[in-house]
Order: sequence, then C-alpha cells, then structure tokens
Amino acid sequence: MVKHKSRVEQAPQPQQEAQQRADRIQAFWQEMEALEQEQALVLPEDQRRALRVYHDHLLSSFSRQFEVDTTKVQKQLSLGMRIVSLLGAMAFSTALFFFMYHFWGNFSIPVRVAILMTTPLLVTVAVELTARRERILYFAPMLGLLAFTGLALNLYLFRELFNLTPSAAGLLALAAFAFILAYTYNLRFLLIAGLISFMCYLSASFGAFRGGYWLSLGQRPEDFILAGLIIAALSVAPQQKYPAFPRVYRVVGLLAVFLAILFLASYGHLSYFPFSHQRVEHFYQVAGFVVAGGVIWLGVGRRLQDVVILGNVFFVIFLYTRFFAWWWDWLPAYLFFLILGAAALLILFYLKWLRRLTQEPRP
Amino acid sequence: MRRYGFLGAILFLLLVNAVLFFRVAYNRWGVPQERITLTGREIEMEGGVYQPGTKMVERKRPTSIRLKYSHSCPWFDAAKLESIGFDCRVPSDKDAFLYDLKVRPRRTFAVLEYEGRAYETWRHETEEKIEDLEDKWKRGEIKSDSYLKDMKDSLVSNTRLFPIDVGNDPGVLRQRYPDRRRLMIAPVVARMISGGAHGAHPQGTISLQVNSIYLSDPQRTRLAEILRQLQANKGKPDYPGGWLAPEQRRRLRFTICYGRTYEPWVEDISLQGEPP
Repeated sequence: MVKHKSRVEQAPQPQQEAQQRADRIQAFWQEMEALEQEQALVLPEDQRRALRVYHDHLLSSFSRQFEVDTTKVQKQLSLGMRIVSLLGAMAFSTALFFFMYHFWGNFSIPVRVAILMTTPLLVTVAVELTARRERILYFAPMLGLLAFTGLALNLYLFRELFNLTPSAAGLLALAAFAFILAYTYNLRFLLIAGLISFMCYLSASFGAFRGGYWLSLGQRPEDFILAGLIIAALSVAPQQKYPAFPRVYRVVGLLAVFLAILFLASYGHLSYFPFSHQRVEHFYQVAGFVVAGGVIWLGVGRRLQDVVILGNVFFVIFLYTRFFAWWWDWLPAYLFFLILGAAALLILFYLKWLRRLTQEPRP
Repeated sequence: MRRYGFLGAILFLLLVNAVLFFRVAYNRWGVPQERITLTGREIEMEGGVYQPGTKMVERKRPTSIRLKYSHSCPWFDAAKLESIGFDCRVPSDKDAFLYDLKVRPRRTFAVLEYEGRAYETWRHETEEKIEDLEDKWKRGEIKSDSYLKDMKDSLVSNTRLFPIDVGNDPGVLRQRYPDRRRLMIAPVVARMISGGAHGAHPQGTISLQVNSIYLSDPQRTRLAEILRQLQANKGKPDYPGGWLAPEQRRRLRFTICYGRTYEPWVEDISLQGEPP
C-alpha cells in the first residue's frame, strides 16, 4: 500500500492525463468483468484484489489531487457544470453590459472612468482568487469571460466618453488580454474569445491595408479565409502544457475558413476576384468540396478527430446547399428528398470506407 | 507561471488605460487643429436612456451632441471619388447592380462649410421651390400644403453646415480652404453609390467618423440650465432640445474643436443674448 502511494504521489500528472488514466481504469474493469463472465480470463483472487486496491488508490489519489471524474455520473455532472459555467458567463456579461447601460447617465465622468477601469481589474483579481481555490476551474472561466467583457466595455465606453476614433487596435488589445488569461489559467473559453478577436483584427487589418475603412471588416469574407488559415496554422506550434489548445486553434480557424467559403458560394459579389459574381460563386462551390475533402484527408492522415468531424460536417452542408440551389425549384419534392436520402447513403458508404482506412492495424 | 500571468493581466489592463488617457491628452494638447462655433440649428442634443423592461425612455440631461450636416454632396462625383482612392469602374455587365455592395467605404477628411456658398445655393433653390409650390397651391394643383409648410420650416430650422470637399490630407485641404471661422476639416467615412446601373455616374456620400460628441459634466449642467431657461414658459417636458423653437435654437452656441488626432470635443456652450 505504502509503495503504491509513494509511486502515485511522486509523479504528479496534469489533470487531463489523470482523467484519461481514470477513464482507462474504468474501461479496464468493465472489460475485466465481461471477460470473467465469459470465462475468457480469470485472474487469481489475490492478484485481482491487489490490482483493485492499486487502482482504487490511484483513482482516489487522482480525485484528491486533480478532482477527476471517477464515475460516469460524475462525468455527466462535470459536463453539465461546464455548460452552466458558460451560460453563467454569458448571463453575467450581459448583466454587466445592461448595468452600465442602465445607470450610465447617472454618473459623473470621473466615476464612469473609475468604473470602467476598475471593473476588469477587480474581476481579474477575482479570477485569480477563484482559481487558487478550485482544482478544476468552473467558476474561473465564468469570471474570466466577465473580465473580458469588462475590458470590451472599458474600451468601447472610454472611446465614447472622450470621442475617440474607433480603432482596430481595440480588437488586438482584447485578443491579447484573452490570451493572457487563457494561458495563465488554461481556459478554453477565453482562448476562443481571444482567437475570434484576433481573427477580426487580422481581417480588419487586411481590409485597411487595401485602403478600406477597418469597421467594414465583414464586407469581404476572403479576409476571414486568410485570418482563419493563419489561426489554424498556429495550431502546429508546440504547446505541451496546454494539450487542449491546438484543437481550439484548428477548429476556430477552420470554422472561419468554411463559413467564409459557404458565404462566398452564395454571395460571389463580395469577393476580391474581378470576375462576375456567378463565376466566383461557382469557384467557391467547387472550392468548398475540395477544401472539405482536403481537411478530411489531412485529419485522417494526422489522426485529428476534430478536423475530420469538421470536414465531414461542412462537406455535407456544402452538398446539401448545392442540392437545394440546383434542384429545389424544378424537382418535385418527393424526388428532391429521395436524392437527399440517396446522397446520405453514399456519404455513409464513404464514411464507412474512411473508417476502415483509419482503423489501427491489429498486432 | 500563474502568478506572472496574473500580474501580466493586471499590468496589461493598466497599460491599456494609460494608452487611452495618453491618446486623449495628446489629442487635446496644444492649439486645436480646428475650432468652429455653431448654433443650435447645426446641433442635435442626445440624452435619452432606454430602460429595458419598462418600455420607456427616461429623459435625462443632455449627455452628448451630434453635428447636423447636409447629406447633399453634388460635387462628390467620380473624379473626386477616384482622387481619394475609390475604383469607379462600374462593371459593364449585369453585375453593375452589385458593385455598390462590393466597394468598401474609405476613411478620409471632409471640409464642412458653415453658412457659406453651399448653404446659400440650397436656400435659393428651396425658396424657388416654395414659390413654385405656393403657385400650385393657389391654383389648386396640389391637395395638401403640408409639404409646403415643411419646406418653409426647413428655411429656418435646417442645418447650415454643408460638406464642400474631401481629401486624404487634412493639411492640403486646410491650405486650399484657409478660412478657419467658417470651414472645418473633420475625419469622415466616404462611401460610393453607383446607382446600381452600368453607365450611371457614381456618387459619393460622407458620414462623420465621430459624430456623437460627449459633453463634460460642467457642460451638461450648463446646457441643462440653458434649456430650462429657454423652455421656462413653454410648459413642455424638460427634454434636451426636442421642443425648442427655431428662434430659440438659433441662440444656442457650441464651440467644437478637433485636436491633433482629429478627434472632437466641445470647448464651450453659451446662449446668445445672455447677460455675461
């Protein structure tokens, strides 16, 4: 027992690794019970007991050290807590916005400036204090997003109070602050907020570089394609301490690329290309399939599940939007849906083939 | 790492606010680039606070003002648009109607003339239209005189601030238009409208980049006092400027300045004819 304890506690593991190990232990004992029932493998009682004790000790140690979920119910509750944390953050941020909006006119300018400056500062202090008390962060992300909203209001209302010209640098400041919080406390919500702000800043800068007014950043979706590719490419940067972050970079970046292509496939006149809008739309309709296919291929090759899922989802969306555009007006409804069903079957066969392709070779 | 990150976040927030304060101070430091005094005709006062849940707008003291300027820019043609960087080659095919959506607005500078030749031209044209409408009204050719009344009202209440030129360099514009008393140079966002048809002549429009100008606390109090004074015998609610008669509006004076970074502020608010 003592030997087990020292071995476990000598090697502290990050929370994600501990959770993965706990999941493996649970799966192992489920399989072990099935094997015993089928009489395929029966361990001697003393070995079984020793293994059980070792695993129980390991799980309780993980639970104590990292607050990992050791049962299915705990896991479901954790997921629920994360969702509640996100919803709470959104609700608190909205409350902060309306609080400012509601009482704003009653305060003198020095009081307003003091409120604007201290709100994000105080909430950031609250993030630190909460993070010190939590082993798994549920309240800290909520407060982190609140601090982010506080800074956004700080920038926006300060600009309004002193009649400053809107500037894209505000987006960069928001992104930098979100990155600092995300990397300090390992917060994915904040990383997403930071990446979206950074992507908007990049798009605005590309537009401004070509002489346009930066606030018209959504007018050329191609700017988002470039910004999304840059964000997705950043996912290859080594981030050993933050194993979940590269996935966030990939998903946010690729999502921007896919959404921009989807938009341009229907609204070609917003493109930089000096061709007719029909030609541009046809180009992006084809590009949508090519990029989705390429993303699936890349995801399969590098064993990136999130990339494969995203590629598949957008492949289907591109396909179905095309079907709708091509056939809805002139095909009878029954035939249209029949074609959709047939397409779904083909996609299923294709995914099955893909699944076989990605299967690990058996030893 | 966490401690450094926390300190970094705090320092970053302080730095962001320091930059904001520096920007304000730098803009207002020294002699303003522009200083012009306008009347209440050229100014719209803002101060309503929407209260969600109560479906009402709470009337407060005016918190900010908005410059009222004419949106008519007949001089802003294709050549002028090209001079500030717009590509005016409207496609010759059926894509022409989509071209306006494609063209991005651009940041530039506009010269706004107060009570100058552009205003006189507009006034002259409006007076001619009024004469014409009065004749038609007398002859019974028009059934309602509401449009005629609106036109007459516009002569005494419309803004006298008219944009007369644009350019990317405010220094060059100032050399070309040296009268600082009547001509103000302000940053604007210019947009191109091609009319949506091939062969149509592209036209430019402008909107001030910072139009809502916040008042300082003493200015809010001062403006509220002036408005109370003007509305004292009217028995109307104390709302920023909404029910001021044109002759009362004309008595209001607002001195607007633009600083080093061409960001505006209100320097002074006064009432003409008020004892000092």
